[in-house]
Amino acid sequence: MSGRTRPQRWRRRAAAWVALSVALGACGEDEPKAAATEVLPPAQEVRNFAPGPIAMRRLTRGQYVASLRGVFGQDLKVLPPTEVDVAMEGLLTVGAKVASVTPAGMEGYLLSARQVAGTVLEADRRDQVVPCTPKDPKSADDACAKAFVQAVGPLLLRRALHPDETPTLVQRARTATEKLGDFWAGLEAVLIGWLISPDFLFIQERSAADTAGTAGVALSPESLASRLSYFFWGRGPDAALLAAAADGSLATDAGYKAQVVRLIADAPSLERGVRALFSDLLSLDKLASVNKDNKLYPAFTAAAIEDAREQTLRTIVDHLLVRRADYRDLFTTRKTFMTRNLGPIYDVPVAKDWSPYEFPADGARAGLLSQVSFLALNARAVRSSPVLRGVFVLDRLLCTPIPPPPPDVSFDAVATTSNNAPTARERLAVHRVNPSCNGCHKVMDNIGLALENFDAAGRFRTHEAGHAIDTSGDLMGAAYGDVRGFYKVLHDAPNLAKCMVKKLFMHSVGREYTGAEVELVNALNADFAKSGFDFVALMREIALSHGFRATEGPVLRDDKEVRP
Amino acid sequence: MSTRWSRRRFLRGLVGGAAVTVGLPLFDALFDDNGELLAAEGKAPARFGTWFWGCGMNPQRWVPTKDGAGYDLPPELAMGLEGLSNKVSVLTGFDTPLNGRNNFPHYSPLMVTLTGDSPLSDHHIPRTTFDQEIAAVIGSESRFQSLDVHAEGWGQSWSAAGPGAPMPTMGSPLKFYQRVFGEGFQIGGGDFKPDPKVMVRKSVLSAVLEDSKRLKKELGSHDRHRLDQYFTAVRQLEKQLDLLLTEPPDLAACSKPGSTSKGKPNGLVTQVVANHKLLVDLMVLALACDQTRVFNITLWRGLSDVRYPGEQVGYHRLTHDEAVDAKLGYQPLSQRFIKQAMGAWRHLLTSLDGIQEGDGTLLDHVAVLAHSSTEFPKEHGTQNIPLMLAGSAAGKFKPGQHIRGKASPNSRVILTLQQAMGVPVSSWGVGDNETSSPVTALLA
Repeated sequence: MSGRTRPQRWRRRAAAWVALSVALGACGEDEPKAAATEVLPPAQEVRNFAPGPIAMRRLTRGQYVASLRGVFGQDLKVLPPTEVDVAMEGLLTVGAKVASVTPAGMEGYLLSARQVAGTVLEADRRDQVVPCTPKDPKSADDACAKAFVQAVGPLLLRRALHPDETPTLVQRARTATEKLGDFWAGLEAVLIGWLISPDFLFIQERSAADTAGTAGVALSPESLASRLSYFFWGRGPDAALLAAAADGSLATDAGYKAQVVRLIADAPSLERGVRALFSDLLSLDKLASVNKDNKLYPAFTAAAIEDAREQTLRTIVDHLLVRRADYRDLFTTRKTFMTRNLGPIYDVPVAKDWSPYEFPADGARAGLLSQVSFLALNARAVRSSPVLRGVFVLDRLLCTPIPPPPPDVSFDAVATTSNNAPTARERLAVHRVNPSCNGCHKVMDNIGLALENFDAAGRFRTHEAGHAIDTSGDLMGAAYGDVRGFYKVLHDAPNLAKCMVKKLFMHSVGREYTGAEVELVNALNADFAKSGFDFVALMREIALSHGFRATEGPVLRDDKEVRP
Repeated sequence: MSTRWSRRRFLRGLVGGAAVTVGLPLFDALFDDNGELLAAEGKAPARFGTWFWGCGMNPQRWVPTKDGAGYDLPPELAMGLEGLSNKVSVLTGFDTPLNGRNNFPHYSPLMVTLTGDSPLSDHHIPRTTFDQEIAAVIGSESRFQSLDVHAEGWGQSWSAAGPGAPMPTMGSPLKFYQRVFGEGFQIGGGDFKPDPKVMVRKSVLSAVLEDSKRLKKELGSHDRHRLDQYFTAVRQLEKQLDLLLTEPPDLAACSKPGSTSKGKPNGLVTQVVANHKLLVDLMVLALACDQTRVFNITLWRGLSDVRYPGEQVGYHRLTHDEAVDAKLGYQPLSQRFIKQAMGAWRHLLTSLDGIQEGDGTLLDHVAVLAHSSTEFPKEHGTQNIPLMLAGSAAGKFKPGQHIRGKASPNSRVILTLQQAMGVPVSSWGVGDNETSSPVTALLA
């Protein structure tokens, strides 16, 4: 294929993708015909395109904590930063590309840094991070400080130290030690400096200077090491990955593959990475601030909320990582785990916390959407909310964002029927009849109404205010008779898996995907299907793809500049 | 220009030598911006704040019929301002045009008020919010450039240092107490010894700033802008540590509060209002102790689910669902929330007015803009967004008037506030909000 035809092919495909997105975005339409189903090369072979830009990303709160635990031990207590994370495309790890630092947030970073530095250097813990003992604990010891700087610095900053950096840091430790008469206070000053520096707080990516070509340039080995480790493990690179970056092996295909294999093989670390991704995608961190009316929902305690979050994460880890089951089955599986706190909400007896549990085949519960975490998070304090639940499913699981209500929206219609309406279906009827509402609400309300068998706290019910609840409906043209039918229809919706691919790809590179990456995402879709929707295989394909390993520019660049 | 203002400082300045520890030239310490000699009692600096309540009001029960000074108090306005109207101006008929963009209910008008531009989504922040523009000018001499609390217990403020920089906020009175009155809080009049640990911490900050200059050269303009925000934040933190190393002024109005309660709001209106009271009481003392000169307080969001015990529907939903009672002319259930909101506003005003400070009260030395997300909340209008400006910011504003905007954009009010507080800005807002015409009637 000539160099001239490539861009044209690119534009054509990008146009097809845009058309698809627009069709979905317009909502209320039937599922459009999927884009051309030609045979695509595997993602790792899709090279002939312009890879995406580099994004400087501020660590999310989760990445911040995980990075520190990665360096200093999983048992490390970390005061989480106060800085607010920003969501884009439903992911904080993507919003990180625009997230910045505020004065109040910086104050929080300093507090966290002081707490972490103090804890790490406590007498019973410092041996884990300081590879030497100072000659005199009250005086400076440059050799020991240097050993500490060289051991910990690269792990925290995710790169080798610059030549002039080590002496500067050793001197910083000496100055502080002399001022305070304490060797450890010197190391603490160095540690605090690292933890508030932009080299720690921002994931910075650079390209390898010498690989410029038409299909973009390779990321620098250190940048690639960070990309890999945040993707698979949700934290910064470990010593082995940094070593592979430093000795050049990460820049070779064989060395790179070996690292990908190693990252996947470390089950506890991979589990942490996958938990972090799904906490983000499903907004599970927001559960902690969910309030329910405690008279109506006495079982919905703080302990139950915490367990509900953990239940969802355990279900995901067991399904995707332990059993390597089909991603789509996550929405139909009856397998989960129970605790005594959750028992009253699910109305099941539980003898032992976190025992495996299987919902009955003829019941209404199956899959993530029947779990308390999702149901309670996407509901009001007293009532369920079909709209919130519908919007969430469309936005996060089907990548079909809903346009906002029209500027001239009138709520009078909704109000007049609501006072005497027995169930949500009648309350929301106007949404689906009124032409200015119906385009979007038909789709989102249908999803939410299918889940009306679950109240605001996620308890099962068949009636609302004495009236039987009707959970039939259709999802983009596919009809179902009840909530179990809905799970099946969702499972079979082509967008379910494709949306996961899109979200995971964006998460992996920390930005939205560009129009030029449509062929890569299509190839990943095909890879995912071929693997039987094996989530780990999808992660591997993304990591091995050219799009993950390359970038478009020789240096960090402005987002707004457009490649000609 | 400095606004150091304690009597002790003034005297120390006179004695000489101590001017060095104050860190200011003697003349700055002695004269204010107009060249007036500061009174021996000290002169309070001007402070600025915002107070937000979601879901508006009933215009026919809130908007005064009389214009100018001595305006009347319709029932809902009276709930907030009875006996205080000479210290508060009411601004009605100001709009928040959306520049043809979608209306994200309750969020779009709020963002227009704060940024002068309309958002692209229900969480997009178009620009730096104006309170942070003011904080950049008047906030750098106090320990906190700005303080932010949210009575519903949320973690994110409306205030933002830029599009990707929403400010953290605090909902727990206990955490807020610890932040302001815990470690690092200094009260004048006692023995002062600078903490060497703080000195080390400050030198670390300076070193990190120095180290990071290298990075700036490598970044594209978007990222460079974010790095600049990072630098600004670190410099502010340096100033905060500087203050810890300086003997604090002995402020007559300042007293350290006793500890407070955890106050976890659980979504009930009574709890949120009680939480608001605890937060306000701490904020007022934070101002009296000059810990901050800029603040933001949120009572509840426009989309708030706050509710009365035993009721099915939260406030926001209720404002849409509830029919207007034909006899009363308003929504009786929703009305209860407006009453609570105006009562909470009243609590802030009376607390500020209850602190004597030099020649007036704290309320005389602040300007607090109260604003909401809508007018009549049953409709998601973007017109007639209610505004109140309390206090005169130490003589900058002329309070006690009812001023009509006549459908002009409320960016005019925001421009006026910024100019009066010293922000060098000649126009403000984007598109239909762009204005260079301040509301001069507000000014003293």
